[in-house]
Amino acid sequence: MALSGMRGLSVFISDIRNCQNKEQERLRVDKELGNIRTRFKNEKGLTPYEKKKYVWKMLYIYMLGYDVDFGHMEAVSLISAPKYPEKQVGYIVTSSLLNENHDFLRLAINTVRNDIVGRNETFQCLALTLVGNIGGRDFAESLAPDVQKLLISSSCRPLVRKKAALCLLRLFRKNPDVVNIDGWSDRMAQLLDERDLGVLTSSMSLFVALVSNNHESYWSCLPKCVKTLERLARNQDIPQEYTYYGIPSPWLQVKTMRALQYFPTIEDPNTRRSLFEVLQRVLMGTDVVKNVNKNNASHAVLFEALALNDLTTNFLLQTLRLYREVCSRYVDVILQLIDKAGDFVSDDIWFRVVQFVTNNEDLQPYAALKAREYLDKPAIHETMVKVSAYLLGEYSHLLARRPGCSPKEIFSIIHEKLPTVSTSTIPILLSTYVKILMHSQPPEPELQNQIWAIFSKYESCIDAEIQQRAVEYFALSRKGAALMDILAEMPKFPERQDPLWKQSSLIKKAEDTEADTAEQSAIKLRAQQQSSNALVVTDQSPANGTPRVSQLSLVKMPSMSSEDHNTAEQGVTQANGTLSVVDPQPSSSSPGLLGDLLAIEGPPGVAVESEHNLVSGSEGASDALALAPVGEQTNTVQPIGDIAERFNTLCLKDSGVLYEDPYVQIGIKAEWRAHHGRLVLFLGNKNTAPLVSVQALILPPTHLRLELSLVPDTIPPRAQVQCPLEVVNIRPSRDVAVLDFSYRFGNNVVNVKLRLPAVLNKFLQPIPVSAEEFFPQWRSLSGPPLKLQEVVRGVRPMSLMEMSSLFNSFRLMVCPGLDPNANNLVASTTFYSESTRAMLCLVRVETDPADRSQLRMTVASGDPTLTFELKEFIKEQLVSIPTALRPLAPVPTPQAQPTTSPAAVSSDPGAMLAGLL
Amino acid sequence: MGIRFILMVNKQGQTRLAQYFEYLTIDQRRALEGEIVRKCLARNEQQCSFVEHRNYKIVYRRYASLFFLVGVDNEENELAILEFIHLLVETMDRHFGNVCELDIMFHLEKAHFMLEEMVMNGCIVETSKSNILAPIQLMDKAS
Repeated sequence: MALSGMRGLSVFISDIRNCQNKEQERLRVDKELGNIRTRFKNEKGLTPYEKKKYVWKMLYIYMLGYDVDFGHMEAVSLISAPKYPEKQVGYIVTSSLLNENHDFLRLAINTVRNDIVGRNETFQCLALTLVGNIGGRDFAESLAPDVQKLLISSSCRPLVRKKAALCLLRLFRKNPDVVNIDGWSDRMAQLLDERDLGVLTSSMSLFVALVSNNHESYWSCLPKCVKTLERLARNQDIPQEYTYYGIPSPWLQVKTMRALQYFPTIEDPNTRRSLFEVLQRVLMGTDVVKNVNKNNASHAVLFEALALNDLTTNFLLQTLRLYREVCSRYVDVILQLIDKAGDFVSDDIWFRVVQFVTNNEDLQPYAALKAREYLDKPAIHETMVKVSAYLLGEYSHLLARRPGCSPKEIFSIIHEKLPTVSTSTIPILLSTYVKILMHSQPPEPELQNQIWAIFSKYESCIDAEIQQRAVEYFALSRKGAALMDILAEMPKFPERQDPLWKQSSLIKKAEDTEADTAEQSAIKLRAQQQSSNALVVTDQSPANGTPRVSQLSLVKMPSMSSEDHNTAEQGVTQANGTLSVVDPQPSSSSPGLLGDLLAIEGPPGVAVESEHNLVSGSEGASDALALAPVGEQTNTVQPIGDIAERFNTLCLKDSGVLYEDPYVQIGIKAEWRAHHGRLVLFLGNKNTAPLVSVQALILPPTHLRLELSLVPDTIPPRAQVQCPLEVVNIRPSRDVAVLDFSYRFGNNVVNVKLRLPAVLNKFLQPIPVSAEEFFPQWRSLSGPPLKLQEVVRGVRPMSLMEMSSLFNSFRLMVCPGLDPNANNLVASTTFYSESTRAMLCLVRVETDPADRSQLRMTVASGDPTLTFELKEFIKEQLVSIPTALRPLAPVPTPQAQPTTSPAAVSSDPGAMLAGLL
Repeated sequence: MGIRFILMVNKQGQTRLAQYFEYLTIDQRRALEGEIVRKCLARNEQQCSFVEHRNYKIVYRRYASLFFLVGVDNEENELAILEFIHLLVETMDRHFGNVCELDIMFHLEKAHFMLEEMVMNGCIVETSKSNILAPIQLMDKAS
């Protein structure tokens, strides 16, 4: 056991090892400490060798958990020893025993510096390591320039430079000023070009610390990181010593990916593509192998790559529209992701795949094929079953001619998975079956019987969702070709909404709509209205003219048996009757109704239409539409596009389409100057026959003076007429003007009521204010009613940047830098009306970065109504309307409002609007 | 910051090596080591190699009678650390040949030299075994 020539140390360790109990150990340790203390005190002429032996003993004792409160001086003094072995012990023991606050350490600072700037590279390494481990602020200030010099020196060997990198990291943490960012971003970029992997590993740690502090300054390093990853992923120029079980330094890969996670996006398409390839390589290359170490190392890299996935997903969503060829890769990668790490893939990821494929037609056959391929694997993750089943239900008919892709084969391979999946997946599979059946018209009798047998089996399932789908699909699939309408492919998803909305809509689409498509029970409808689903679903009217999957179009089906009709009618009656009891609070009695309705972003008319469709076959059904004068009409013409969305768009833009159906298109163009506005309505007849009985009435709110020029009674074929509309804003209000538009085409009388985008923000003029202008104004408007403050809850999740651009889009000019708090936002604008004239409005929003769902808003202006209306207006833009509010609009019962006649309704623009909504 | 400490503890719970990358007083160390050792040594082979303790994640691996325990912060990739432990063991093995607890115990200084070459300030410096061992080999030659 003799080692390193320190016999005394070995003996001591043996003694300790032979101790029978803790008490004996303590006695032996105390004896040794006494011995060392005497030696240090009495014998001034201790040789470096003796000192070395004693400080090792001290370190050993310290490691055992005993306090060593002397001998620090001796340890530190060894640092100045001329010979390497003593110096080394001095450095190591000092960095183990002391911390940055020890006074002794300050004594050593000169020696340490001499070693760092000296020529002996082994001394340099020791000194850099000590500073790297325990260097404090005073070290940072006096040593940083020397350390930086070593790190970037071309004459310095890697063994010194790698230590210099981590030493600098320590100094940077002690005092960030020691790294002068201006100069360092370029040097850092150079460092990341390093060939030596030891230096690169250390430099990457330094880089992570710098970039986590401030990624803005290090954009130039981003491509270098991707290059490093490429080098590692392709195993280019990687010495054998740096591969670990065949994997090029997994630690450097992990570190580099970590660094990339600090960048919010990657703008350069080439870099993005390179990174994408690396990630794909990682995903493809990671397989479960027998060797545990290799497995762990490759999965360490894989998990880090998954963290990066967000970055890639985000940028992909933005750029895939431009790079068509990457589309299929996206689907590839996500499917691989599900395949490799299904447990880590949340539902929204696969929803996104579905959404993505639905919106990209060229991708659909490819996605279906991929889904089909994955199903061949012996064991696949349940999420893969879901996404594959969904994709194949929608698009497998596009593969029909390929081997193994006949409806029957697709059905069997999916059905094989059914026994292995959980209850939540079965509804998706049932939808897939009925879609397969729909796509194979006329169906093979054998397949049809098989699928029917499954539906029959689940008709008595204990899970309500499964049971309902089974019953409905069974009934539906007996209707033959009529199925086509209802079970047609899902329409595209609206692109505009924020991702969260997309996701939730996707959930509804994927899980509710299908069921609702087949919905024929009015009792279910009532349940939906109460639980607010009905409106959410009908919200999603197709935006692009794809076959309308109206919730209840089923009722119109000619092949429907009269029995079904009766059921539906009874259901409706019963529903209405029950509703008045169950829901004794008619929404019309709520004073806030108008406000609520105005705030709802759902498309006007759509919900009503659905109801209308529901009851169109039954007498007295218009009772169900107490608040909806539209019920008087016999509209069978469906609007193209989402009316509400068009309106919302026009609130921000000054030209666009306000309304469109198969016969007519109403475009709008507007100019605004102070409190005046001039709108031109473009009424276009899309057909080869004339539109007759054309009527356009304006229902003005009290705060607007509106004058519409004469609208001709007939619009000739393929002609467009222009109708100017003059607008004068009298006073601040959020009420909205309505255009009541009707025409006749053949036997169809069409009447729609459209909100006109002459809204409050159109009378705003953004105006920049300086701090000198802002603060005196802000202070002079000291409180209510001119200055109002409110804590707004339920704010849509958005970043401060998004909020700024939202404000700017509403002509509130955000003035950056006015508020010292970076989480706050200050905006200014001028409002014009006859009563107020030009009036300066100031807005301040204080956000809480920890809770984006609420904020405090203060609005100030010289007019109390204006302040209030503007505050409410901004609030409406910020708050997401909880869906629970929505059923308020269509649900009101006839009993609750028996006197509402169409005439009474039309005289009141507010009620009119309610009808619209 | 990454790695906060590295411990080597035998199955009787005796510490064979302790390297901290943040300053704790001796009492704090004693308490922390006691807690971690009790927690990790009580676990069986089937259980996960990652345990949360206080504000650390402990990544550990057992080799014969010796446990290697690495405390990391929440920023670390646990699997990468798990394999880093193995790299450390392989490096010791290359130097000592069939490394065992006694080697580490009686060559405490060498174990420290190796660690010093591999980790600095809680970050990984070097993963090439020959580079890690080069200074020790130089010293061996010199003496």
